[in-house]
Amino acid sequence: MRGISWQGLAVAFGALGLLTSLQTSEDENPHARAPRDVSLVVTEGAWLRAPGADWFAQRAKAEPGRFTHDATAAGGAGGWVDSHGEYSLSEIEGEWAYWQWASAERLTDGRQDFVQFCSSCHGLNGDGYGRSGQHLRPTPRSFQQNKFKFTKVTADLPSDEALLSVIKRGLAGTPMLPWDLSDVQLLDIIQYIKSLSPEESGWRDVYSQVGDAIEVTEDPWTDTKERAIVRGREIYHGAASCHLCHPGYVTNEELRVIRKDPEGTTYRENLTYPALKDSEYEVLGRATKVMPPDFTWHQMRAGTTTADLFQTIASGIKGTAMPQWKGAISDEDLWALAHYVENLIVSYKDQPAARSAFMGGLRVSGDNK
Amino acid sequence: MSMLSTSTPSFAFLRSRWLGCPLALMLTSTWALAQDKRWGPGEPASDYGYRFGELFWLITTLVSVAFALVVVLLIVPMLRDRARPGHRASFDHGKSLHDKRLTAVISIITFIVLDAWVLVIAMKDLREAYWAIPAAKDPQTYKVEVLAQQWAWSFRAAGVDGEFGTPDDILTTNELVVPKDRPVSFNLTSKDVIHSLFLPEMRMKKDLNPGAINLAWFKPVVEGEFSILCAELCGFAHYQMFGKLRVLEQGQFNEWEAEASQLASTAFDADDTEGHWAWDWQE
Amino acid sequence: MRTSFFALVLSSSVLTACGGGGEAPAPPPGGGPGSSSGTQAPANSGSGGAAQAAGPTAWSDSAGTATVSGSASFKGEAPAPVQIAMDSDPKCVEMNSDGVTDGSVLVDAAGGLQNVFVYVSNGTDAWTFTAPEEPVVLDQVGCNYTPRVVGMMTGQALRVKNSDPTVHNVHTYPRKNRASNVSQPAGSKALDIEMNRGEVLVAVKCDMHSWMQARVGIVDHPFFTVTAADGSFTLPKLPAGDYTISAEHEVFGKASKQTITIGDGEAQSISFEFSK
Repeated sequence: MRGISWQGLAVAFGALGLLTSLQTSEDENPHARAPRDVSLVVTEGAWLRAPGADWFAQRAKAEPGRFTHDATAAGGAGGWVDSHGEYSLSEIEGEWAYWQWASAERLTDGRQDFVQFCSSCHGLNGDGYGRSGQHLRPTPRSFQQNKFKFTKVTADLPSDEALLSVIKRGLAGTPMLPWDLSDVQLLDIIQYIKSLSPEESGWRDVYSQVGDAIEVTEDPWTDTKERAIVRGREIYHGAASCHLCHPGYVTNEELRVIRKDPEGTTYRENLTYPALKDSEYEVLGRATKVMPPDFTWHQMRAGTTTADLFQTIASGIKGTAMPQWKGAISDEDLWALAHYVENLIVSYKDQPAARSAFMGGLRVSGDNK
Repeated sequence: MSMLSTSTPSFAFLRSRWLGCPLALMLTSTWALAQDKRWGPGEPASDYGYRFGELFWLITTLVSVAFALVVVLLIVPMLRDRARPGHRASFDHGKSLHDKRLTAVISIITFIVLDAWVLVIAMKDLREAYWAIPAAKDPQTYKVEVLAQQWAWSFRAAGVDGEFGTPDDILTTNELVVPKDRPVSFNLTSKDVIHSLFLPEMRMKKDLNPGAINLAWFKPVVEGEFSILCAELCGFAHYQMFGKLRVLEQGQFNEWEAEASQLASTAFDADDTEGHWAWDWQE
Repeated sequence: MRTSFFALVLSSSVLTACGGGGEAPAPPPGGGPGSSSGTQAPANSGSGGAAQAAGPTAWSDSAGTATVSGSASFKGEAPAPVQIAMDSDPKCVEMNSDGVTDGSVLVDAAGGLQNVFVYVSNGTDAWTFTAPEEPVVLDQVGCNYTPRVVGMMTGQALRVKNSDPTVHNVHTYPRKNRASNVSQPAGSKALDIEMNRGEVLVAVKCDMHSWMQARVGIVDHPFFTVTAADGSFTLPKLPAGDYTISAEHEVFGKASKQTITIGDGEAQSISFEFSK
């Protein structure tokens, strides 16, 4: 090693470093390069909208001793009191509502994990346009928009538990993993995400509602699955008209029978294919479109069990064309739909021979394409 | 008695069970583990996959022999020359010219027997198989652009029109469908960090580097479902980048491709230029 | 052990020590450690900024005697009406056997522009207004919204009916109010949608029938209207004062605002001009 001059080596490395730093590139896209001065500290805490009394009643059972019900609270209406002081009930603009305090320290912890784990897609500011999220469809959520597709809630906003469940399960067929961080870490990240809400919508909005995932009611079809599938097929192509966006899994003739339409009635072109729909998810200010899934082809994001499908159909998918069905059709019919869709998935998804026989049959036997 | 042993080492123990035992143990345990799909790589499902197995077993056998030899050479003198009643421990720093020559000869033999042998075969495999990227213009070649990101694989196939960057491009996430008995050629790159596309059953593994397009290929010869993994070690969640590779028989594949292309055209939003990515095929 | 856990416990205990505990009707308790700025209740995000410190008085219907009327017109060649293809739902085709054209731009022969939402955008801060009990009705008839443009007051309900023999979904696109997207099969009871903040114009769409669109203008006072087929409008019962009057169309956007000063019993006329 005596032949090497260490000073010379140091000079060479220094020169190399200098050259690299001089070689700056002016990128038009401001997001193309991560800024070097990323702040990891949140200096202000935030009051965030909390779920309603039912949620607190649940929490009170899960954490005995923490929550007590005070009949004189909320001006005599009664309400839950949190001995830890994290949640509180207050009146704003004449509305009594529960609020949650997320301290600056907690938000800082959430921010740090957010930057490490989430920001590559969701952006350093939670705008849904991080380096890895660019050109990605469906787009990563912008946390400044407060719309979440698969939290399975009918309220405007998901509870911490509903968000936690999405993050822990992940969204199949997307880069959103089932995250195996600790609950403490995830809940801190969730508080941080919530704090990114704009003033007039989301968790800072006095008028918004926070709710838990929709309750899985008792499946009335457990012993009569076959009948559920038949019923589900009727609802799918009839009262609910799912085939307006999703594929119709029937021939034109069958559809006429189900919908009691006169002979000769025709339906949309490419009936056995989905129809591209508008969404509210924006990239660089432009709304993207979303393809409703073909259940025999595409991957379901939020589970394929009948219970998952029941919840997803019932709650709808926020920000997309999929509306809330809870209340619009009976729970019995919702379950029948779930059974029908599950049957489509189980029978044809990833089974090329069975699927092409089924779909091909629909396409050649009728006047539909 | 001198502190240094001047006697030449005896190699008589080579004939003993000292060598046979560790060698047999190593080879049988490796073989046994390799039989179980959870531990071993399973049967190769690509046409060049057998080369991997041959090389693997060659290296395993050579290394096992060398290892057993070294262990025996270490343990036997330790026992033979240990201190015991009537026998003083003897040791040697190997500073004599004779010892140095012996070391050199053993090193050269080891290099020729182990490394050079493996190197020659490995280079032959690389030349004949891994680097023999099929020609893009060959209609048999099924081309796939792979864009990796934290934490998923996006695959883009050209669809029925054979052109990349058109509405009928088949776009899949974490799912790749390829035809059996046709070479599948990859253009690989990454959006963010280094990833490594690993198709264990196909014996194919290649890094994806942001800013560069890497090439790789394989030819599946077995129908079925196989794994897609990320073999990148450093990073939070590479291990979670699971995907599914499906190999379909040619007729079924053509049907699948036509349907996938049709669905892709349906999903194509011409105005959404930010969401369009594809590059000119590199080879 | 991660620091966040400590921070959580610490902040919780300090909050408790501060007398937090959410004793109603006290505002949410003081901020966490080291955060003195967190002592305020959640930001009052206001319902359209109606209430001002000047001490507004309750509005009574008889207080105003002035009238602003006028018209909205479209300058230039109006786009030709586009035929809507309703093929996806034969029920819709059936109800519109003569065909139906897109109703987003309705210009009469004299250039009068229909369905312009005209409202007072400034000058009503001196009063507080109470929203009427009865909801504003938006009906779905023949796979279209009737009326296409409606106005309502903050706090008033938007009642969406489905009079069609087919299913619709009522998808609202507000930016300052609660969004909703609920399906409404044939024969369902009406949906009541609440919007609590002033916002002009909120789109209402049906994703199942992609041509279906309506707009809702929400303001926190009763001085709003929608132009008639000839583009005319009247804003009656205005009290004397200075006002800014705005007009917005779903396709052509905002027209330039008009400022007026009007006395009791007076009638003034203004006009709005839209172009592509």
